[in-house]
Amino acid sequence: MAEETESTKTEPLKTAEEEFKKLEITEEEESELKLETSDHVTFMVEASIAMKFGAVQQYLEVSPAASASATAIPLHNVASRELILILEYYRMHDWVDAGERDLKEFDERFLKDLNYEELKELLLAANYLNVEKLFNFLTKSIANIIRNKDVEFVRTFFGIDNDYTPEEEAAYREENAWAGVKFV
Amino acid sequence: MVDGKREEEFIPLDVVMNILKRLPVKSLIRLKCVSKEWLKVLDGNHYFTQEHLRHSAHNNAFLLLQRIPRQPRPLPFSSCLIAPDATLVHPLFTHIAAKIVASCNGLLCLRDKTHLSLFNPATRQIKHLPPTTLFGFHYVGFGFSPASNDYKIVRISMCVFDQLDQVLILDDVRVDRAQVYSLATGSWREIDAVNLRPLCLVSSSVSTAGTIFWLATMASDSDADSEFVVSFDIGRESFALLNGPPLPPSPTLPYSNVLAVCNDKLAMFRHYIIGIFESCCFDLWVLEDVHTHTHTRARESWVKMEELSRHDYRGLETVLSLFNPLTNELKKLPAHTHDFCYVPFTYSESLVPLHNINSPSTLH
Repeated sequence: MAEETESTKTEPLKTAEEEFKKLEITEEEESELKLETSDHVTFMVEASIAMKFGAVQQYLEVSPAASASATAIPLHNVASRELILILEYYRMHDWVDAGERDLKEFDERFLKDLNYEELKELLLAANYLNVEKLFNFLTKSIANIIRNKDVEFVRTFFGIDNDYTPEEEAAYREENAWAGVKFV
Repeated sequence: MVDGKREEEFIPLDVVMNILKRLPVKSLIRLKCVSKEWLKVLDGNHYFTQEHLRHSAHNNAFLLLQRIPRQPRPLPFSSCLIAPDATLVHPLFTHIAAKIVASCNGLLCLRDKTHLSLFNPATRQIKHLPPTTLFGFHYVGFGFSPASNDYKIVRISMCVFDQLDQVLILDDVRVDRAQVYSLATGSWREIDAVNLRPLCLVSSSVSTAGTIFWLATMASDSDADSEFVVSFDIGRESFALLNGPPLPPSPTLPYSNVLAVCNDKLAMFRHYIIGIFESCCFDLWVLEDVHTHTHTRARESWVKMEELSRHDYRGLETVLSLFNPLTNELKKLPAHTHDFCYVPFTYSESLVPLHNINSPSTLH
């Protein structure tokens, strides 16, 4: 699989032989697809990565001509900053030389750089694009964040309004006190 | 911060469920208080319960060990959970007087003398079953039928007590009657066990893919070497008799059979003992297919998996170990084998409710 110049920034120095091999691969000129985000930024993305997006696959099934033509495939619910993150994630995870430890470190750093709002936006973008690996990574990460949090934190995180009456809520908290709800 | 296109972030419920299915049951019970919509999802929603169970069984399967004191008896049993990496997780519960009979989808079937209960340790729900009219010595099986979306318990009584002469008959123990309890209906009913009458059950049950299995032999010892598997179709409530794997060519080492589940299929370990427990080796057989499912003999195909290597017992005290047949790895578990014996079950926690289960349409 071809490597993008962006992902090579973090690579350790390579031997001349490896560099040579890489040149050979890039010379094959992998085909690219043009994607347009909701804020009207166009991206040229390697087909090998773009075809991992369920939304792109679906679009091409309906209008196969788009793969060859200059028309951009519109991604209505993905902004450019989310697409940049998604591409960063997939380029790293597609990189053949990435070891298990590299990926773990990358995932940790990737997650650390996101605040809760960005994390939710990325989750919605991944859901819209139908990108399984990233979607599972994000849902798993959010599950880890809320695992030991209290009800108020979770309401705020998901932007959920409390629709219990104070009496109903008190009753539920009482009933499930053993599971750690009895604060407030 | 955002470019104005999404003032209000709204995470769709199916995405929320995908996050929630990854949480332990205790967290989910706490989160019932978030909103009424979440309560609907977390309190018995069939789809979510199944999704959570699938995730839990796939990612958080534990070995559950029931600890039974060697003496004095009777004493409360206790249990512990062992994670896949052989570390002790935590005691599941410490003081129950009941013995675990079977474990399925996060539910445990417990027996306390003659009383049976279903227990979900994760949600702490318990359901005591009404007493049955079957008396005496009996075998119990427990499992789930995806076809009828129901959990059932089967009780098979063995004929050991002659009602007329009021004596115990120990030289001709055989199956007598059977009753089945459905969690959906909440009641017992008698089922036909006539085709099991010539048999004597000799193992506890295992359950997979809507069927419960026991090992059996012919009650009359004319054909002492014969081995059978009794299967119970949980949805159809019918018994069938299957042949065991082909017998080893004689003369053979002494061996014993243990039923197990391997990739959702019935499996049987044939455990050969060499010398006076000096070492042992195993065959693992898997029941790949049963062709006809009538109430008489079925044609079954047992496939022998790799013959597992020989293990040297010499110089070893009684130990409790986890053995991985694929990697040939043997891991010692933390155990006090002098004081307790251990009965293993698989366990993964679930939200499966013990009340208000929707009555499936296939019943009644």
